[in-house]
Amino acid sequence: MQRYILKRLLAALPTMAIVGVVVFSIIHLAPGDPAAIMAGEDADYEQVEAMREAMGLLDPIPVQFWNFVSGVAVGDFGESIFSGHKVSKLMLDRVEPTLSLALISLTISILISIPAGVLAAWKMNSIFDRIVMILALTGYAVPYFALGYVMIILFAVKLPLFPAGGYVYMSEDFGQYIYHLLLPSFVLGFAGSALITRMTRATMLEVLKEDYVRTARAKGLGETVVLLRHAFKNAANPVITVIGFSIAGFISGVVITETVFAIPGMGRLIVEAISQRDFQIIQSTILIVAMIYVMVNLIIDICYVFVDPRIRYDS
Amino acid sequence: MSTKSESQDIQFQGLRPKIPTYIAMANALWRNPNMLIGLIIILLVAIVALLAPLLIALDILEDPFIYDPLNRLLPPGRSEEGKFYLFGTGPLGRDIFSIVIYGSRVSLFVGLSVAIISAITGSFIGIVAGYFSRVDDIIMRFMDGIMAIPGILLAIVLMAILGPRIENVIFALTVVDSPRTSRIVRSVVLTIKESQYVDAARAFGATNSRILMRHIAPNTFAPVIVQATFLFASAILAEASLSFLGAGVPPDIPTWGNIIGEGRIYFISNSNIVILPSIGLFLLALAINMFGDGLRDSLDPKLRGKI
Amino acid sequence: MKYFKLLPLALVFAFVFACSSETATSTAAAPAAPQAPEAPKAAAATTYAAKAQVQPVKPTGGSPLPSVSPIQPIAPTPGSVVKAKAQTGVKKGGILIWALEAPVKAIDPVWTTATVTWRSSQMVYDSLQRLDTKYQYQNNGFTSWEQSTDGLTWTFKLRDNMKFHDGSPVTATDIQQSTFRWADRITAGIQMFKRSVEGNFSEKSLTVVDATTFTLNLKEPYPALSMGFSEAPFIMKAAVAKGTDAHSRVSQDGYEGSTYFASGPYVLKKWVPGYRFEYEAHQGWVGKVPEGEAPWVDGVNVVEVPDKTTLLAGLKTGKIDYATSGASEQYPDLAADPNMRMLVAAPGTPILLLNHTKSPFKYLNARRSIQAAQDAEKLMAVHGPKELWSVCAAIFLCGTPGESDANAALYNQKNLTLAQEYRDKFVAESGWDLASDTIEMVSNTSYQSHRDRSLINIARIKEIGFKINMTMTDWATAVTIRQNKDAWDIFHTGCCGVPTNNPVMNWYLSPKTYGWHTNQTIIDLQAQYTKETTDAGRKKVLDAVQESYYDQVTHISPGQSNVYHVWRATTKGPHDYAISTRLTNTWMDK
Repeated sequence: MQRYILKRLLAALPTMAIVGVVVFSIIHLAPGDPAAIMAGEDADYEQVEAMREAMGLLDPIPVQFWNFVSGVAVGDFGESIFSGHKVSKLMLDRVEPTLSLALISLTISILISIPAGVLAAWKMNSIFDRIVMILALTGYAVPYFALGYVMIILFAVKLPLFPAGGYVYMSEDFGQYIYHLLLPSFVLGFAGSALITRMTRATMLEVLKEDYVRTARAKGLGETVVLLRHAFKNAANPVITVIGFSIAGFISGVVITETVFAIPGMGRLIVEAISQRDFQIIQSTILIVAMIYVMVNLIIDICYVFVDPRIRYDS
Repeated sequence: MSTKSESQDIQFQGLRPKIPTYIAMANALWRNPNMLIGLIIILLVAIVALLAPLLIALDILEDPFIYDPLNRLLPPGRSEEGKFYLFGTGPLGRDIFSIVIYGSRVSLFVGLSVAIISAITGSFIGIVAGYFSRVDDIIMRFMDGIMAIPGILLAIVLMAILGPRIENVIFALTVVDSPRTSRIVRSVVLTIKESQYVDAARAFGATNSRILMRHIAPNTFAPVIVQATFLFASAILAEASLSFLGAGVPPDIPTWGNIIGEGRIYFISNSNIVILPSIGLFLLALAINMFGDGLRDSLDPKLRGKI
Repeated sequence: MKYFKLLPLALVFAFVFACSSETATSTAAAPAAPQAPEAPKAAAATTYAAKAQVQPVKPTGGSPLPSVSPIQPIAPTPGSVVKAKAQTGVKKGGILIWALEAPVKAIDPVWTTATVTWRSSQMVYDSLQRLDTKYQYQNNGFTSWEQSTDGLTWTFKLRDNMKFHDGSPVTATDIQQSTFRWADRITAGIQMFKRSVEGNFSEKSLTVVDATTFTLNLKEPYPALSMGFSEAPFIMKAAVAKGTDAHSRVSQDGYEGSTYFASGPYVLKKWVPGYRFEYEAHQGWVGKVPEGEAPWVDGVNVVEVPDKTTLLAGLKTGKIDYATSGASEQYPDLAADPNMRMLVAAPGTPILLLNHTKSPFKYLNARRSIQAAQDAEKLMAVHGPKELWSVCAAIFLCGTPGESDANAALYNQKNLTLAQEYRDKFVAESGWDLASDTIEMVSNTSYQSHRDRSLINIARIKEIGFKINMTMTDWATAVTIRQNKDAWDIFHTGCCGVPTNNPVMNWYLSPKTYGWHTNQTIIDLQAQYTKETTDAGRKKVLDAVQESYYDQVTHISPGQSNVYHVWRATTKGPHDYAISTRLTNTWMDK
């Protein structure tokens, strides 16, 4: 197992290298000039040039690339060229909201979708099944931002049950932290649960047709035991795969949800940095997000082992 | 082409699914009302989109490129200077109903273009990677790298370089979507490559290009077309998301995403602006997904869950 | 059961109608009775004297509203002198939540002049002077300043008891160094020191006499100084100001806690970038303008809320006490809400820049053609409800001392025929081919008003008969394109109103780079303006500048736009004195 994990981690290195090169070259091809933004409307050439020098933008591109790579290699992600903050500090501040949002959304969507999917398969073609499938289709097609605004209007403005946006750090007030995340997480989780629900239902339907399920039922085992012990355990594998897929979706969805709900997360950090051409922030954060993505995939693969003993990575 | 190899082909075809795609689709449509409803909605939107210039020429719709800011943000059902605004006007005084109708053109065009182009490039990359194992590793590593960057962020960065133009939106979304298609195609190719009839064809001395054209490519068709349908829906939503974040189609061209992006700050006071394009977006994405589900079930039930 | 499949459609409609039905009625209601509820409120808000810090605010990154500027009431109450309004039932204490419109990227007001940085600097820094309601500079950091009879020496006396947040006194040396740093970067400082004995900032130009006195030594009189320091520098500790190059940031490591190097009414305690600032009242602070100004709340938390819908919801639910720059679209909604108070403020000027270095706008007739076609109402209407914009011929702003009607007939002509006559004259003299030569317009999507104005303008310019191509990018790319003066003909931007409301400070009248005008008459008049010693004399020059601006079409300014600030009725007095949002003498009734 350890060997497998190590192998996968090593295999992730080239992927990361590709991400780094792609992102670095893309943003340095971009026509925007952060010095011109910062110098302001009344600045003349000399002032912009002075600003460019102060921002370290006069170094040749290969030198800048080398600085980036050698920095990342030792865990130094540089400084924002606008605010001078360490990018690592900025990210540390922003990682908590983003991860919290993603994890709570994931939890919500799993809590919604797996029971819904299992029950829908169990009671196939019932009204419950139909409703679940319709909601799942809806979750597929509804744009995050539209759903977000509808939720804000319904549950924050008309019925002031939830805050309309904003964020409270976990360390400050845990109750408020959860309270602020519920609405955005629901928006993200609803969309995410669509895929998982459909997958759960589909695989459960197949598994329920299997002989061993029939045998289990014939043995007189209770439906709950049959559903969970025999059926779902065998259906879990594809479901986990799909959860892995949804995590990638969540990372994209987070960008928009953060904008709508004014959550100071990584997504907003990156979007703002792109509009300002804060190169250092863009390249470092995208690299980190990609790393998170790769790690999540690895964790998913490891999860298979625990769910399905037939899978072994050592051999 | 010799008669000998033709007879072999017939022989090998016996090992593949026999029903032609279009018949399978027609059958599925007949049996699956969900799919039929989806198709009807898609066709309705497409017809309206195609007819939009005519409707404008006939003065049934307002010209979406004429701005009248003095009549901005009118509530629905208001008449002003002899013009009737069924859904009110937007922030630049354009008739919402007209720009939403006109906007369907771009949404459809972007969605369809992205679906077709990424299906083609994705298939090409996937077939090459799957069939030629020497380049497989390099190509797929590169695809992994691109897939590791969250799609929306990659698209925003690309749009920042390229500037807001429709073709750039299509390009950016294609870059984002192609790797996923290529991964699916590659896995199909890997399975077919090991199948008996490919072995047999190779034993009969068929060239690589012949095997690719006659055996491999046709078998990837079903999964690709299913994948393309889902890409169609997701590209429409992605275009809207990009425009929502201000990084999409240029603002003078009405698209559903643009209208929502423009109207989002009026969401509470003038919800009429965003509602119509949101419904359009939702319905179209829903219809395409309904259609795609049916297509997948009929063409390739094994794909359930892979896409 | 078959029709069950139509349920998703029904669901959507139900969903949408659930949230639209009510809002639809409110939309219908709002235009029906628009003025009644908001008029008294706006009046109440503007009754009290306005004060504003003078600092140019540029459409630099970070601010979604480039035309946002230091806060000024549109129509200051004439004659009223700034006095502390006796407030009754003041409840001190509490933390006020202030929503800022954009993320603060840096807290050094010299390094960047972004609106939000300026706003946050208001809280932590003291400055030498501030503008009052009549747009006159009032002493803030000084107690007096005197001009010698030959006009070459100015003597400044500092206010007593000014203390930095760590308790150490503010001295003349601190101000000297702060001024130097400011003059290294900001135009007004460069202008001032150009006339000093050494032509640059130095110990000899600005001399410290004792702890509370310093002198400015000039080689030629600079009467403009009697109007004020123009952009008064924020006061920093001498060591910090001296130790930091004006083109680099003041180190942001030391901002947490009392070691911070400023002396203003609030101490910046904590800054989580992109999330919020936490300010604590500076207990040792003695306000000056107006008398008795003091922080009454325990602290202010500044939250960054870039999304206007979220901001609105936050205000309505009481999560936000005070907000700068509400969305123009939400103005009617907020104005109709009895729980809200608002102030329409900060005139800004939308700007259409013309590239004077190349054809077509090298030619006066081409510029006049565009000018003649302008339809101000249409262009300004994109700024929202009528309360938030005005059609005004005065390029130095209506409602301020810079208001002028020189050559006003050339403003807002809406004359397409005349435009086409000028166009034909231009074609005859330049050989411009209307069929193939194209005007390059550069605009940006980052600022909604720029974007909307450019869309309207492009339609108008096509009507004149020109071919026009629009490059629409984000602001970062647009300013980069503009640096290349061969790459653009028309550029959309917007600026900042009052701080630049005189011929010297108006950026678009100062010939610089990028294709700005190089009209000698205007340059001479600008020099003349600084030499005039009386208000009447300056007004005469100002009129002449506006006359030339219209005659020569240096650029085009279609009118005046405003932003508004909004706060809950429970927040008392945020604008009773200084409109410059320092949130002093402000308290919360809740």
